[in-house]
Amino acid sequence: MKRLLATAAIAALLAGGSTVQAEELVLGEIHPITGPASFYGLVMSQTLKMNAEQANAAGGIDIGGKKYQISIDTGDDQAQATKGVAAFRKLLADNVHFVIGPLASAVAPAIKPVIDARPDVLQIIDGSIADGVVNGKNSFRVQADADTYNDAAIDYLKSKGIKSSAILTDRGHQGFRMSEQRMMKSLKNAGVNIAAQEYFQMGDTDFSAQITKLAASQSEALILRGYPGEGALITKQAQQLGYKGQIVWEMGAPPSTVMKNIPATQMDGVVNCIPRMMADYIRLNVPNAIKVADAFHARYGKDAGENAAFSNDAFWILTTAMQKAGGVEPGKVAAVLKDLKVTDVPNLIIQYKPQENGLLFKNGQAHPPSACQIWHGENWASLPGDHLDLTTKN
Amino acid sequence: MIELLPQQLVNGLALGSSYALIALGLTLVFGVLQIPNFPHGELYMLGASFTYVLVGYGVNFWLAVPIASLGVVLVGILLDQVGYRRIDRGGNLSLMIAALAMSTVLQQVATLLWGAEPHTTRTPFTGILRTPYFSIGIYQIVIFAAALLCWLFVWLVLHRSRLGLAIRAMAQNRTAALLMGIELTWVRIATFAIGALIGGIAGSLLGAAFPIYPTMGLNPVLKAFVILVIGGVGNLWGAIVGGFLLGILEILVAGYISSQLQDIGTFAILVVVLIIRPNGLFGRAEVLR
Amino acid sequence: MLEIEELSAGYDRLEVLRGVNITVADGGSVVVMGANGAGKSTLCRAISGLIECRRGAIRFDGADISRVGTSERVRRGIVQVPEGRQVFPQMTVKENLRLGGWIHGKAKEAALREIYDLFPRLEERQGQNAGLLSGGEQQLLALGRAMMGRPKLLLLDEPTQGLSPVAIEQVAEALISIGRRGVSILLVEQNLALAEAVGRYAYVLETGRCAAEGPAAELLSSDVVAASYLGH
Ligand SMILES: Nc1ncnc2c1ncn2[C@@H]1O[C@H](COP(=O)(O)OP(=O)(O)O)[C@@H](O)[C@H]1O
Ligand SMILES: [Mg+2]
Repeated sequence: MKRLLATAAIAALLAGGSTVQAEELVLGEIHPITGPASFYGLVMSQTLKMNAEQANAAGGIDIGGKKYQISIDTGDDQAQATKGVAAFRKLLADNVHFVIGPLASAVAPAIKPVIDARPDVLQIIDGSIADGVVNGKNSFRVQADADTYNDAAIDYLKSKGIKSSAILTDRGHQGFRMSEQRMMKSLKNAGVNIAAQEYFQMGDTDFSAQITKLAASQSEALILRGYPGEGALITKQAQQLGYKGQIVWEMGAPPSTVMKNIPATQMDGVVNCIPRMMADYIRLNVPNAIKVADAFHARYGKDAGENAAFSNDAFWILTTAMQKAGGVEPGKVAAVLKDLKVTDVPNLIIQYKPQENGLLFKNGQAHPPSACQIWHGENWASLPGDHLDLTTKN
Repeated sequence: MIELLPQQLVNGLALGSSYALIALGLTLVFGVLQIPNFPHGELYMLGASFTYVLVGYGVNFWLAVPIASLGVVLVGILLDQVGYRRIDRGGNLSLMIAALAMSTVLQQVATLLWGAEPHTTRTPFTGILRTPYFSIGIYQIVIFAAALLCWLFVWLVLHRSRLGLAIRAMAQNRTAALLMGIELTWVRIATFAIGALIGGIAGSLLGAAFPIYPTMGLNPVLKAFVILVIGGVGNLWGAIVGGFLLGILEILVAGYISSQLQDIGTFAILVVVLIIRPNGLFGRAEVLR
Repeated sequence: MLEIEELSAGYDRLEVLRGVNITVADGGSVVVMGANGAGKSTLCRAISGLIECRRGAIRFDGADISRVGTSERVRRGIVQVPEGRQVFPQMTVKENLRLGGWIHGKAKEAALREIYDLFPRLEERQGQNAGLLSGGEQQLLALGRAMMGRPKLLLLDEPTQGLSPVAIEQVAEALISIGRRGVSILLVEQNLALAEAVGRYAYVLETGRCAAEGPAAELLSSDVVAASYLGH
């Protein structure tokens, strides 16, 4: 009897072993899956999982002659620094060596010290625009830096011949706060006078004191730096308080989110200057964008959010680098990333501006193009003369 | 800067109206039953969410407000019967824990039902009143009026009805009230119903001005507790005046000192009041006079 | 009218009353005496239903009311004037009186009139907040408020505590006149003079038990009472 049992056990083990033909590759991610920022983070996580499913269904990803089945290990940071660090440590405990994320500008600086101390871990940030979170050694970023946001707005002011602007900033937003000095300088260089500068905080609902002051400064433009919920509210209250200048947003602002917080008609003429995002690429008929959007809709029955593009790209950049490295050793993959060209990676949605020699990253930072759009009817519309150069394989 | 003062004062009154409206229900429940009803913030959130949903189904806004508020009344009564009634003798700490727990539960339920993304009910009035000295949204005037009307309503119930007599008696001396033959159960239900009604109306109306999301009640309820300290616990007029004062103060701090100090201003006034008049500007002894 | 049989009651783990037997006859007036902490107020609370009756029974008008709520007991005619008067301080004298008649619905002017005739002082002060009255006036208000409830049995817990001799006199007069109207009285009192003036039968409570009982006139002049009060 005992022998029979033992034989059965060995047989079972052998049978189990024989099915593990393909290797498993675990990619970690850190995004806000629950909490107030989950509506940004959840679609990012879902995009990664969808990409993994598709790759696995096609037999896995071929790296160094082995077929890898990809699985995604999700860390939920709730967009909070402490939760983010805890989620990241959990991933490390799970023996994960590749991490995509985080989204939140509060989380990225918090996990940076941990990343710096772990050369055996490779990170691609697909969200945060905070300063100094990318080292170019084992952390890279596909999202733009804060300067890209600011420069887009400043270019717009220049193109319109605007000579004075007021600025209202979310003081809890690391990326915007850290880039403030540089932005002031750029504005000055562009010949734009800073008429007034005020702050608010995410979750604030009344901005009347600040707007009253900004309106009194009679600036030609008002730049809002923060998140779209507050952006919509400020825009609404600015009109109530009789602000007459051009309102310029710097924020990822899906129309659905905008219209949940302000009647569409009150948005007319507002300009948004940001790195181009998902909806932009769809509108400009970038084939990869349309492909992912359709697949996402078929898979989850809803639209992929603006940030899906960044997560999608991080996935393909990472797996392409692994293929080129011929293995999954983080150090080698990182070395490949440094030399990766924009044209090397398939399925990219964002049309990155090539750096010197056509490279994708410079000191770990990719360069997504930015553009300004104007609100019209119920959506953002391209400004006249807007066009996009396709820079990646499509 | 001084030429902006009329506008800033109007801004302060508008902001204060929203604070007063929320503090009113909270002070009533605290004053009568000595319950620190943190989930009042969630009742506020539910008032806003119910209204949003109803308006989404095509119900007229002004019809949605009373329906949503009545829905909130039911939740308020349930909150008391499920959460507080049984532990009434358990002491302040257990009441506090129960209150925080119910806040969290309601937030989670709201997240499951409606998601975490902020949204706003379509404002029924978008008009703006412009004068040489200030401008103000018509809807803000509506909210200002609503705060005063709600105060008047609660005052009339408390001082001109038999039920109000019982509620005030229970607030001033529970044992004596019981010895008059007044039933605590009914006073509880009535008090929570009125408190929730005002909270529901507040959310219902303010959800058309401010974004609605599961944790939207947290900050307002903290402010409301500050107002309770300023105005005196259980003091209805103190809640109204305290609300306006806090609103004006916050705006003046943001407008004349720095917008980075807006919240610090709130808590500075709290500390000052606690030191100078520990029972609030209008006195705690005058509970539900 | 009221029969208390082997009543035990207390607070949490503290058992204060341990098998108390007390009877109040129809129209009778009974005095309960006892040292501080003997359980007299606890007895009043148990009779009113403010605390539960753990063992034994309380019967009123022949019905067992041990499990009946305070409100219902008030409706059946058991009204208490609690220790320390317990008026509603932030309400007017008139509102306090209206609350006394709460169970009978909207207060009728006639009922108020009756109380004002009994205590003219209250009419003079009817618009004033009860918290601003003197101790004696508050006690009269507490009595008047209780009478608004049209009691069959009036429980009084140390109504003269902290009052001046003149005020005690007024309370005594009031109690005697209330007794004459046929209201049964259970008076908890440490003031011997008042106890003798009002009570016809007396009990002495000692650490939660009846240590002695008998006709008031006899018992109150005996050694037992002196012992329990003076601690001999
Ligand atoms: N609310 C209460 N909780 C706990 N113990 C109490 C309470 N009230 C009274 N006691 C205790 O019960 C005992 C009897 O008190 P009480 O009935 O007030 O005595 P008396 O009225 O005869 O002076 C005392 O030991 C007292 O400490
Ligand atoms: Mg006593």
